[in-house]
Parts: sequence; C-alpha cells; structure tokens
Amino acid sequence: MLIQSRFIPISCAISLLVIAGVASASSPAGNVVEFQLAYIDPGAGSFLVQALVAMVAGIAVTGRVYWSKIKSILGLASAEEDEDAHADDD
Amino acid sequence: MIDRAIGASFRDPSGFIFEHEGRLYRQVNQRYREDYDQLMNSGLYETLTSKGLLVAHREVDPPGAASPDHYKTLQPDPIPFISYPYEWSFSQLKDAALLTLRLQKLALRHDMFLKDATAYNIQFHRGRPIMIDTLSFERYEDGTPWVGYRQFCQHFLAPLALMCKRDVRLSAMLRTHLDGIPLDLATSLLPARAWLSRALWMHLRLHARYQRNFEGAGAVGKEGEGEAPKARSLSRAALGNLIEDLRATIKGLQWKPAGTEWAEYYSGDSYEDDSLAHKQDLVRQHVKSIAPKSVWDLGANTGVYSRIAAEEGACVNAFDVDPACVERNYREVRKEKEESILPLLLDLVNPSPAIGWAHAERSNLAERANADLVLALALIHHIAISNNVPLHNVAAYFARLAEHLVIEFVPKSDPKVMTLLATREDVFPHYDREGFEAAFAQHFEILKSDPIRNSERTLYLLRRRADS
Repeated sequence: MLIQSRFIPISCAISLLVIAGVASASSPAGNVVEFQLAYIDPGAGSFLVQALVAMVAGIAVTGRVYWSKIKSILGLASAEEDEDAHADDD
Repeated sequence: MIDRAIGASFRDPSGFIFEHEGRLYRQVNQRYREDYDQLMNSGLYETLTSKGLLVAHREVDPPGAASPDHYKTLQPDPIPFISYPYEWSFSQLKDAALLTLRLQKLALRHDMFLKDATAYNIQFHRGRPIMIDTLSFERYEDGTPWVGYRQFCQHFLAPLALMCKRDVRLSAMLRTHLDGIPLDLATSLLPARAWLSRALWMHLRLHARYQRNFEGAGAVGKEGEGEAPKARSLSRAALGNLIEDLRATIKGLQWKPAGTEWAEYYSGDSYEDDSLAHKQDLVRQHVKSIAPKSVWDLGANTGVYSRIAAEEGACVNAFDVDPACVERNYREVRKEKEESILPLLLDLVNPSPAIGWAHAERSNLAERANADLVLALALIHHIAISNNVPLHNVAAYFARLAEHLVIEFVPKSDPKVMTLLATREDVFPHYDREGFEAAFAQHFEILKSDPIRNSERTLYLLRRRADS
C-alpha cells in the first residue's frame, strides 16, 4: 500500500507524535547549538518540532519520488512537470 | 552606526542599509566578516547573481566616516520601487516563498544557510522576485536546525494557506502582523479541510502547538520541571527534506482568480469597441508626448493601459484593489516574461500606511511615489461617488504622486455612474465637467482634453502646477 503522503489519517499522525514525545523524553538532552549571528528569535517550539517534521517530511519526499516513478512505469501521464524541483540540478 | 540605518534595517547586527547623498549603501560589520567572505568566495554569490536570484553589489569605500564596526561597504544595485508583502497577489507571495526555499537549497550546497526567512527580504524587479538582503547568509554547521523555519511558516506558509483555503483578502493580515501571521491565529482561522493536508497540519497546526507548549510563559510546568528544552540537532539530509517538503507544499497551494467584483470587467459591455480603441489611442499619444520613465496606473485592472505605457518604454506599477485582477496581471507578466510591469494590490481610498517601530519601518505609499505620470482611467467616479471623496481632495492627493496626470472624467450621464446613483441619494451637485475642471485647476493645468468617441467621457492630460 503506497503512502499517500497527503492523507495520513490523524490517528497515524498522533501516534507518530506520541512516539516522538516518548523518544525525546527518554533520550539525553540534545546538543546545544550555538548561534553567533542569527539575531531573530527562532522559537524554542520551532526548533523542537523541526526534528519530527523533518522525519515525516523525509517519508513524504521519498514517497513522492516513488509515486512518480510508479506513475511513469505504468505509463500514466505525470501531471504538470514540476520544473521547480529540478531548476537547480546542474 | 545603527542610528544611520533606514527603514527596518536596524535589527541585524551583521550590518545595515543607509543612504548617503541620494545613494543606497549597505555596511557590513566586523562580526559578519567570515560569513561575508564565505558568501563571496565559495561561489554562492556568483551562482545566485548569475541566476538573477540575488541583488548584485559592488564593494566601495565608505562614504563619510566609518564606524569601528565597519568591515566593508557595499553598493547594491538599486530596486526602482519597494513593495511590501501585503501589497502582493497570491502568486507573487507564492513565488517569493519558492524563491526563499530555492535560496536556502542553493546556500546549503556552499555550506551556508539563511538566518532569516522574512518576506521583506524579497522584492520584485524586472517582473520576478529577487533577494535583496545579502547579509542573510550565514555559515552552516552540520547539525544546526533552521533558525528561519518559524519565520518562513509565519511569513509565507500561513498567509498563503489562508488566502487559498479561507479568503484571498486575508493577506491584509500581513499589515498588522509585521513578523508574519502567528501560527495559532492562522490555525484558528483555517477551515477543517485544510487539516486533510498532512503537511499543513504539521507545519502550521502541530508547529503552533509546540510553540505554545515550549514558549516561556505558556509552559507552566510542575515544580522542578523547569529545565528549558535545548535545541536538537538536525542533520543536513533532514534539513534538506524539510526544505523540499515545504517547497512541494507551497507549490501545491492553488488559487483561482475569479469570482471577485472586478475580475470580469472587460467582458461586460461597459465599452463600445469604438470608444475603447479611441481611448487607447489617446492614452498612447499622451504617454508618447510625456515620455515618462515611470508610470503609476491606478485602478489598472488587468493592465491593458499599463501595457500601452510599457510599450512606450516606461516602467509601470499597475495598482488595483481587486486581488483577482492583480493576480491575473501578474500571471500575464510571468507568462510573457515582461520586465516593465509590477502589478500590486492597492485600495486607493485606504492606501498602505507607514507601519512598524516609530511608524518608520515600512513606508506609506505616497512616500514611495516615484512616478512621472499617473493614469487614472475609469476611476474617478469610484472615488468621488462610491467613496464620497470630494474632487478637490482627489486632485490634492494625485498632485502628491506625480507631475503629470492622464485622467478620465466619467459624468453622471454615463451608464456606470447611473448604476452607482440608482440606489442612493445624489449628494454630488458639483460632480460634472465644470466642477471637475475647477477642482483640478487648483493643482493642475489642463494641457489637453478630448471627448472619447461614442461615449459621455472625457480624457484629460494634466500637468501639476509649479506652486502645487
């Protein structure tokens, strides 16, 4: 069953949240990263959520790549070539 | 010295923008030295400027006395007109967002990243978005989470989601929220169907929840649970996935420019073909005779007359109050790769005010006026009748904007005005040609006036009085 990245049911997402919550609670304190020049307030919450979001994003990004591969194997016309994604692939 | 900085350029300790004898400069401070050197030497500056993604600059000697902080002085290529995110259409904001992510992706290849992700770092130049904050690039160390993630979500993702999933007019919230729309507010305004998107749910809703739980005062923990959470490290690959996910999400947000009041203006029967052609002819003649470098087209709709002015060599700001018109105009600019037209959102009876600290971070519209010629076609009746602004006041305001004015007087006998007056008291005794000419004569002299063939309207070419 392909992961339709757009429509993971809320329950799935919540269980991911729980797993991440448990994982972060049990692991030792993460690295303190120093910011010399970043003058804006990044937001403590924004930092913490990034790891989780990036992990799920990784699944979604991979899912999208495989989904378009499958589409081209099956000969389905890929809707509107996403040129932006490849604009800087020099 | 920071007190020489102009506008909003006082927050970043890496440097600031200032003006000297009418020219714009950027001071680079000592603390930014290594990052600046890496930007220039790693090839990133070269890559970005050659692709037209970053404003180019020259290194110059500091004009006047340099402060002890000073490392270098740059003279950036000037942008002719500064516009703000609350003046942009949906696709303009979307393209600005995509540019920001593209910059981040390219920066990472050179071991740099964006230390902020504010929409005010982007301007429109020659028809496309461009980055103006050269000092936004910082050296990247593997493992660093993205400092700009919160700002990106607030400046770009939240307003775009609100515009396409709730109401396109919500971009106006960017005027009251200088640092982008707070995520909890955006979350409360988005409809339930927005949360069917896993990406929006995570980047906005989940993000807002984490903000609430971990941001200082909100995190009322139990006694002894006071340890502040430390920033987790984020691998380069994970950061890359985050950026790519944001890119695909933004790309997937769509808005159709239709269903607004003015979207179908030209397809209605407000004009006979004959009068349209005559009016276009007259406008072209006037533009040719003035030969303006820069034109403001007020109430530009989808830019028919803006394009006439552009064809005659002018740079044109095409203003309209209707988001669908601005959007269509911009899509046309993008599709035809036009370089002389900048479509912008503007409500002339409530134009962009000065906002920010000391009312001076983002300037009001009239302060940015740089036009040689203003076009006010099929507009006066909306201001004077629909909005009850006396003709004298309209003339006074237009006189602040430019030296020349091409304006179309639309009398009460015109079907459009008859419609406006059909459902209200006619409290406009002086709204006729004589009254119009008298009101405008206080600020302008009439160079030419021509009745438009097959209509009741008159087209005027006016020049501001020297004493105005």
